[in-house]
Amino acid sequence: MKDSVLNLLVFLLVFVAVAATFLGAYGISLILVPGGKGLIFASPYAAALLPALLAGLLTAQFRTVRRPGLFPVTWVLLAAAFFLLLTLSIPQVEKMPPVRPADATPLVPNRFLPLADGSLLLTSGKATVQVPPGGMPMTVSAETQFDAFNQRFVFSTGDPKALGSTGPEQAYYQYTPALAALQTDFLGVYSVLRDSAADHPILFWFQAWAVTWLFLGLFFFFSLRTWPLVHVVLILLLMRLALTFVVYSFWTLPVLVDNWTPVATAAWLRLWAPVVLLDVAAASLFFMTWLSKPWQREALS
Amino acid sequence: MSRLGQRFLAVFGLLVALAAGALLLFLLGQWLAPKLFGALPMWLPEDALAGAGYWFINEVLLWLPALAFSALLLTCSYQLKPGDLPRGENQALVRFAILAIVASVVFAASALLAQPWTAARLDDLAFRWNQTRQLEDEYLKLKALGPDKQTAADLDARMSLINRLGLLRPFQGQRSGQERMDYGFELAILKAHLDLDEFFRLRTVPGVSAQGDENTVTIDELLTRAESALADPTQDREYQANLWGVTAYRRLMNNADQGAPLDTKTLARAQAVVSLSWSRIYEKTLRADERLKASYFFRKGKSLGDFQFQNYLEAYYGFQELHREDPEDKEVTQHWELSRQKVAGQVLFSQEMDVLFAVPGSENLVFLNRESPPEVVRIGKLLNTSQGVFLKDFEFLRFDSAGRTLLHWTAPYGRWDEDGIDFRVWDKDEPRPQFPVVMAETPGNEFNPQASVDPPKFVPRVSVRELEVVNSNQPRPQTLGMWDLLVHGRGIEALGYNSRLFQTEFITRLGAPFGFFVAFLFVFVLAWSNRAHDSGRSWWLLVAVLPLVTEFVVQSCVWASRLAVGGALAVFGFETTTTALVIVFLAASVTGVVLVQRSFRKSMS
Repeated sequence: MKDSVLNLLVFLLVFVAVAATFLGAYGISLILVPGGKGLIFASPYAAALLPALLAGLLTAQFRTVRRPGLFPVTWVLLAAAFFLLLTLSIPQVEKMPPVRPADATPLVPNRFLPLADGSLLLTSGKATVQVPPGGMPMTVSAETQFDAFNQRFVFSTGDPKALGSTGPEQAYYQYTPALAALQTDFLGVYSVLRDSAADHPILFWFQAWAVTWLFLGLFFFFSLRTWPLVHVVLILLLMRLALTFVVYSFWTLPVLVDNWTPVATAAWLRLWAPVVLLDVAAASLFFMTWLSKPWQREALS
Repeated sequence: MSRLGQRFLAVFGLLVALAAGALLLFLLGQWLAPKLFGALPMWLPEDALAGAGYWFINEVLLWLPALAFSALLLTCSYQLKPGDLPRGENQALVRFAILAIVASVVFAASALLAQPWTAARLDDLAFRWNQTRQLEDEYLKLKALGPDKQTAADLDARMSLINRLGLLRPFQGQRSGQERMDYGFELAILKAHLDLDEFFRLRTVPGVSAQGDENTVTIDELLTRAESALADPTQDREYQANLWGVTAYRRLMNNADQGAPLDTKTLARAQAVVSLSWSRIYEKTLRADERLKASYFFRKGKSLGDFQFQNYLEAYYGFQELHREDPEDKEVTQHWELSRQKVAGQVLFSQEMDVLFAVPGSENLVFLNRESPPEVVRIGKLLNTSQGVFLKDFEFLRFDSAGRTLLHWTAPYGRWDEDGIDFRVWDKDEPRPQFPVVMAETPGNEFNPQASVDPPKFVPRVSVRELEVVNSNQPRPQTLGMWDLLVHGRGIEALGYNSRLFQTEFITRLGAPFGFFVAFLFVFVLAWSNRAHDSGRSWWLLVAVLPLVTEFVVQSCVWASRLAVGGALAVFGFETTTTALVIVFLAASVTGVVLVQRSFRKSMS
């Protein structure tokens, strides 16, 4: 029982540590790039939530297979903590002030230009941008565009010292493709949960539970008798795959449902089919976990 | 070599071979199944082999650090046992330090020399493809107009484009396959067209329209009709014969464009018919109108005078008009050519500008003058060539603090030199200037109120020397060598611009081998402390999977270090950042060495 509680504490501790690291990184990035330009998440709290939960879960699972305590109790505690942190945090995160408008499209270089009134100007073509030289009267503007619809030039008075304020700098400091894909997937999952929390509370609870159950299902892969390093690397990769699967369920499956089912049932199905698919996958992993009993296997050291 | 080195090299070699194999398979997949694996980068056919080679080497080099760390982890976790190490922790530490230093030196050679070089080669190949593609697009667009709609300027433009394409790709004809056109064949056709077109264009009588079956009967029949019409000079059928001769020529050229061989005998018959009919019409017209004849000689005299007094622009248009009237006048033709050469340095011809801007250049440059009244200058496209700096779609706007437009004007083309931007652009065929167009002006803000005939030069507050900085096609910092990074950065600073991008790349690249060394120490400590003590079967899984994870971590660390160095440069400046990084490296190195020594001691005890 003591180990069960300790496993829960490890989960919470890692969650807090990773979340704090994320928030710190966001804080530094806001100092360097005022206005949160270039960030995929509008809110640092939203950006930190899912990675911190997954990091905490991985660490707690790793400890659990070695010191399971009462495994059913540990499992229930971890599930409850993951589920509650996920569900209770999202409404709170939405109340926090974002670093840029939450409904604004993530700023993709050379695609959107934020205007003074908060709206976004869709830019056409590539704008060549350079740093304005200090003190010289004529400068190459980073953000001047002609708004053809309103027949006006718009330009910002942004800080030229800000990192990534020029076109070449934006390209240079761009996320790596793998990092951008990972963040986009996190954003995809978070935005579905956030919208459900606001519009369909019941659905939101089921979605959150499906996500929780699926990631807890990764316990099954600890039944593979191997060394700690193999476990960690394998579970990290499986978490990435599971995240892709959740994104597929939340974003691609509704489109398939729309295409393949009658209109009368499509609206209902497109909401619940992802939950059913995730639950089926999570249930499979859950039963395999109980059958293989990874906590009873002697781990290699 | 120590067992440590031997086993590390064996695992590293295995991982590099696996990664190279995977990359080759991926390349093959991109080539054979682009829908599944994504398209290959675009290269010219003659560059494809070199491009694939550079791409492969570049990817392997990018993967090297991840493969090295993976190999170290696998070696120290699963392959190496404490008994394999030399006796005594100091001996073991020395052996490991040698391995770490050799690995760091290899990585330094890759990061400092090989990677920028391959990246620059790949950028060059991509630019060559892009440039060629745009020139070909422009050429095919003109060709698609067809012989009936193509003007003499279009033919000139096609000739200019095909010559430039030939220079860019001298061996294009030697490559077969999926080429959109054969430059040699197109050039031969064009050369034949150009002289002949000029000949027929100058001898075509305007205003005669086809009314019969000219387009359906055979070419031979058309020419026979024309020859019989000209056989009897008293019948006054020269106009009809001229039309039939020109129609026969056009149809011959249409067939040649489709790839049919050009019948030189029939062509010579068409030339003879058109030449004879035009001469007779010309003689009859002049004989009937002495005033026209007198006018010709009067205008010729005026044009010669213009040429003598260096009014080359007037002389050019004057001689051009006379050349159209009488292409047989050699004196006119010679002076027309001479005046065209003289005029080239004074004004721009819009038709030639259209062709010039077919190649890629910097696009959508926007300059902002924040001083009151604020001014915005936009340049649609800018080309920095050996002949000068040319710009297209120039737009100037001045407005007051409330955003109301005070002055707004645009210009189609211009040439930018040290004195400013010259907007004298004329039509090549007609004496018609294409000067700036004023869209809006207000009292006190008129465009060019004291102007004479020509628009004065516009002097931007950015000098033409700064175009190197402005040019969007400037090489990426990742493709510059260490020395070039310094030189380029200094050059940009001298112009008053921020060189942070180049400083960041310089520092991160210089620091990369040191970072690799420190990471090598820490990865060893991680692996050695967590080495496997028990038997098991599934560690081989890591051979395939571990590099994927380490590559993600390495690339993320590289990205984060760029951001961190860029941020530190923005806040603290170059000297402080460099000093701080040296201190961090020294501290991390000492910590790493101490940790390695401790882990050796622990394992030996």
